[in-house]
Order: sequence, then structure tokens, then C-alpha cells
Amino acid sequence: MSDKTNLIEITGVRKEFGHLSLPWKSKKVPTKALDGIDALIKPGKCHVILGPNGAGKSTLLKTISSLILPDSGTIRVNGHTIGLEDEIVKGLIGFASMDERWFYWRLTGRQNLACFGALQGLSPDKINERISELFTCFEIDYADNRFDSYSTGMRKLFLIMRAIIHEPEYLLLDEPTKGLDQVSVKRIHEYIKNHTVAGRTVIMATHDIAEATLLGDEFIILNRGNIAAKGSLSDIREAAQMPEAHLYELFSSIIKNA
Amino acid sequence: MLRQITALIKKDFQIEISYKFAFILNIFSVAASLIIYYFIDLMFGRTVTTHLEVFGVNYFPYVLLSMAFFSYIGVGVGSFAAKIRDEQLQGTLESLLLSATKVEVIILSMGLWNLIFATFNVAVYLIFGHFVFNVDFSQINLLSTLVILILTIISFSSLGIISASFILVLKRGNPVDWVINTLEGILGGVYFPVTVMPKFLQVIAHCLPITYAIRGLELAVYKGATLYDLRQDIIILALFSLVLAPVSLWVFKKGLRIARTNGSLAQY
Repeated sequence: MSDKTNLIEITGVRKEFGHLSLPWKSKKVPTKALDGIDALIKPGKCHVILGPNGAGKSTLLKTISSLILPDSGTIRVNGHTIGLEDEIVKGLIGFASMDERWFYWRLTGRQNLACFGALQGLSPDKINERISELFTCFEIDYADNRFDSYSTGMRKLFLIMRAIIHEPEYLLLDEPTKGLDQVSVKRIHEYIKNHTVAGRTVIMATHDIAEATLLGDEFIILNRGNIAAKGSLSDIREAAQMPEAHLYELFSSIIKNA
Repeated sequence: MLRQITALIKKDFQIEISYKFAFILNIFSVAASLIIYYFIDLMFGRTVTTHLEVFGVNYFPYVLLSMAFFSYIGVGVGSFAAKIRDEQLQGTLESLLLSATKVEVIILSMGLWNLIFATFNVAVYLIFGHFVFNVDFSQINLLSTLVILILTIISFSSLGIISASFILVLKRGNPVDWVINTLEGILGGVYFPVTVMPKFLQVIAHCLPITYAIRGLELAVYKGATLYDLRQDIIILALFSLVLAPVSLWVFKKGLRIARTNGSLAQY
């Protein structure tokens, strides 16, 4: 197995929820979220995870981010195994879920970013520098207002800024543009493109096929916890024997036949 | 590591001062509780005095100190679980745990602001006690007081971290917190000396760290007891600390692993 290589290796990852993990809990039928996922996340590319609701997209992102531990299988980030070397892995990854509650709402946006920047080990000077860069990049002029005064769109931009404050090698995004206006969507798309151009990696779950087509270099199509298709658009077209098909047609066909 | 600890304390301070009214109300609560015990002392102070001879004080100074001290114990026991519960309810627990900060640093820092806040509370108790109710602290042995205080904070914080581990997994219904608060408050000599209780309860009380902490502190503050005088209490508290501190961090990591395996970090 490779060591310290710049990629994420996902090997045989299984995850079920509703297990009998505590002796006094009643036995439930487990829900299979991931069923033996194997994937290689190559650097400098935007990897898009597609799939219908409940396919396991968010679970896969949370597992890569180390928030959820797999029941079996391993995930190695640059050779560091999740569950064993979590602090190192967390320094390499930035994760933006779409949970707006990931912030302290009594604090301002700036105070929140400063806190999370420090927790990533950044110096006060570096934090100020990064906050200025990010506010310029996302055109933020409301950073000193309390977080609970922000709109949904503003909070989502902060979720992304929180994830990238420490300039992670891998950026994990769970439906990053859902519910955002076109201006914000464009800014995020530009950021993602620049991130990959700079040699960094994006793993993004989305339902938006147009967004996936625009940004994706590699695709993982999940269905009921299994990989139904993966690879570049041309790889998927070739495997599906639909050489001219648009991603939307491929996705529909693959899910229908899975 | 210092950077992360400072950031977490600063964050808690910023949140605390955003609730200004609660902050002011806290000072009035301290004053109100002292007034209650002052009048109890006026009524029954002399009756209880026989049990307090060893400490050389009446009821009010005794309860003033144990109540002030109980703020620290309350922080140790309750604040970690309360903080974890807050983070679960706010939704920030996942966000915190995503950072590259060690889990041990996160959990220990969670109690630090409360410790600072408890020190402020203790100061308010002692200032009221001294300047308003003329309690005499002139006999205090500072070294003994500090040693007892540090050992108490370590052992009770450890119990608090164990308690927080249950919250991580169970979300609500914390058996450790219930047992500690009930037993420690009633049997530990906070509101009255242990010697007031029947013999069998005294035996139970001597299995609890709080009994040694309160007795040691009262003797250090009011009788000027030296480290040698308090050696028995200090050794027992040190043993509690030595055993409980590593056990608590192990239990917390175990609890975190269960929550991550269940995928329940975001649940409340």
C-alpha cells in the first residue's frame, strides 16, 4: 500500500446504521448506507458524487471527513488512516456540510472564523490574513454582524469559508450551492475551479447535474450505498455504451438499471 | 496547543458576555444564597457549633467556604457534560471535532472557561463574606489551600469528563451526573459537617473525594492547617486524581468512538 502519496484511498468501506451497539438498545433492522465502497480520489481534480436521496453521498463525505467511522474497510488520506491518525487527516481536509448550525450563533462571522482557524492551528496573523482573503474572495461585508442575523445564503458562504480557512488539500462539499442565489453560486464555482487548478482536490456531493457537468473531472454515481458507476465522463459513457450521452441521461440510465 | 486552548476559552467568554443579564444575575444569586445562610446561622448557628469545633468557626463561615468551593466542584462535575450537551444542541460539536485539535485538548478546554467563571464566583462569595459578613480569613494557609484546590479540580473534572462521555452517547439521562450530584451534595459535607450524619452515612461519605476536599479546605482556610496536617486528605485526593484522570480521558475517547460509529455526533 502506498504511503504519504497525495490521494485518498477508499477500500471496502461499509457502513450500516441502526446496529445493536449498546446492550440496552432495542434491535433494529440496520440501514445499509455504504456497501463496500472502493475508490481512488486523485489529486488536483474535482470529484463529484451523484446519487438519488439516500444513496449514501453524505455518509461517504462524513466518513472521509472522519466524523463517522466505517464498520469495515479503510480510508487513507495521503497514507494516514482515518480512525488511527485523525488529527493529521483533519488538518488535510476541510469539510462544508450544509448544516448551518456548525457555527456559534451568538458570535459574529469573523469571531467564528477566527475560532475555527485557531483550532486548525493557524497563528493570529495567519488567521487575519486568511479572513481578509476570504472576505475579498466572497465579497463579505457583514462579517462583524452576529451570525444569527445572517440569511441562509450568507451562512452557507461561511460554511465554505470555515472549511477552507486552513487551505486544506482536500475540500469536501455537501451540496454547496443548494438554495443560493446565482451570484453566490458563481463565486463558489469559481473558487472550486481555482482550488483544483492550484493542484488541490475537491470532493463534492450534489443533485445538480448542470453543476456536476460544469465542475466535475471525475464522477462517482452511488445507488443504495453501492457504486453504480465511476470515472471520468468519457469512462462512464464508454461503460454505459452511450458515447454521446449527456451526464443527465447517463445518470438516469445508470440508476434505472442498477 | 496553547493557541487552541486560548481560542476555546475566548469563544466561551464571548458567548458568556453576549448574555449580559445572566452574567449580572449570577452575582445577585451569590448574594441571595449568602443572605439565606446568614439568617440560618443567626437562628441555629450555636446549635451546630459543636460539630464545627474542629474547624474553629460558626455555621456561616463554614457554609460560605464550602458553597464557594462547591462552585469549583460543580464546574468539575457538571460543566463538561453541560458543554457537550450545549455543543450537541447548538450543532457545533461536529464542527469542533472536525478541527485538527486533539480530542483531549477540546474536552479539557471545554471546562476551562467554567473554571475561570467559577473562580470569579468564588471571589464574589469571599468578598461578600469578608466585607459584608465579616468572615475572618486571617488564618489561611495558602499553600495547603492551593494544593487541596488543584487536587479537587483534577479529581472532579475527571468525574465530569466521565459524565460527559455518557452525554456523548446517551444525549440525555446521565447516571454519573445524578449519582455525583446527589451523593456529593448530601453526603460530602457541603451544607453541614459530615459528623452531623449517622455513622453509616459517614462511612459512605468517606468513600467520596468531596468529603476530604471540603474538610481539607475548611481546615486550611480557617485553622491554617499545613500540608503535613492535611497529609491524609491530600494523599486520598491525589489517589483519586491519579486514577480518575487517565480513566476519564480513556472513557471519553471510547464514548466518542461509539458516537462516531453510530453516526450520532450530530444527534441530540
